[in-house]
Amino acid sequence: MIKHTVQSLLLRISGMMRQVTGRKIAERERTQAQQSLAVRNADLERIAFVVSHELRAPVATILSLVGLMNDPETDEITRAECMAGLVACATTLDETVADLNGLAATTSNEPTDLTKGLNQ
Amino acid sequence: MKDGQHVIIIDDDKFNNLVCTKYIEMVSGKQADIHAFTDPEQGLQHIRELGTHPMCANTILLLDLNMPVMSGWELLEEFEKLDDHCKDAFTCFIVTSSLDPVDHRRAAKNPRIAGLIVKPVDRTVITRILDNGVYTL
Repeated sequence: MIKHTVQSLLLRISGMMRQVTGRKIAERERTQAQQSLAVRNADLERIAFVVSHELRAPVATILSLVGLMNDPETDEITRAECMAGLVACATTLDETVADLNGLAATTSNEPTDLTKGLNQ
Repeated sequence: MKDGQHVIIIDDDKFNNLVCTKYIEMVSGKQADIHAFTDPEQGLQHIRELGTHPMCANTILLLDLNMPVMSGWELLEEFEKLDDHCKDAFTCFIVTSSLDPVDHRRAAKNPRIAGLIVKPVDRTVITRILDNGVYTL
């Protein structure tokens, strides 16, 4: 609060000052942490969805196709169709793993290269 | 298997349709009338046409869930709009690769769904479906 005389001369200044820089920085850091956690959570949910649907789908089809190929009643033409299916599924699987690798990299602070582990 | 068995397969994965078709042919001795669709809208159209036919009784529907354009759940919503006598002619099975418990709970709650089959599909599963028209996990 600032008081002046009638002639606008400064008469008295009263008030309180407090250093809040630390608190403000902490608040900002907390907000940033919450935002990055929300993004990370969304990415993890996306990964769970990809594993449950897109990654599982070609694997299940590969197993179905192999089962049919191994059935003694299956004719040669059907076996050839199954073989074409196996190639298509493996290609889809490869693309999905590449997508997942990209997602995993964004969710981690350190870049994750899944192919490193696979190639060893 | 009942005589004059119709089977409709709706799955955007043509290889799953191949496997299901071949096993149904083997198990039924090529007696079943099989229609497989990779486009769910075409499949739904076929169901609608079959629904107006007096011979529509005794049809097994094998339905995938995760499909572009129209999901299996959306297709079932459209299916519910058909006449009761037509709907009752169908025995519906979900055939999915999904391990998502949300899908499994939703299937269990739907009285229209006779069973949920998690891929891979094998001969045993198809035999049980054709023999009993029921499949429990």
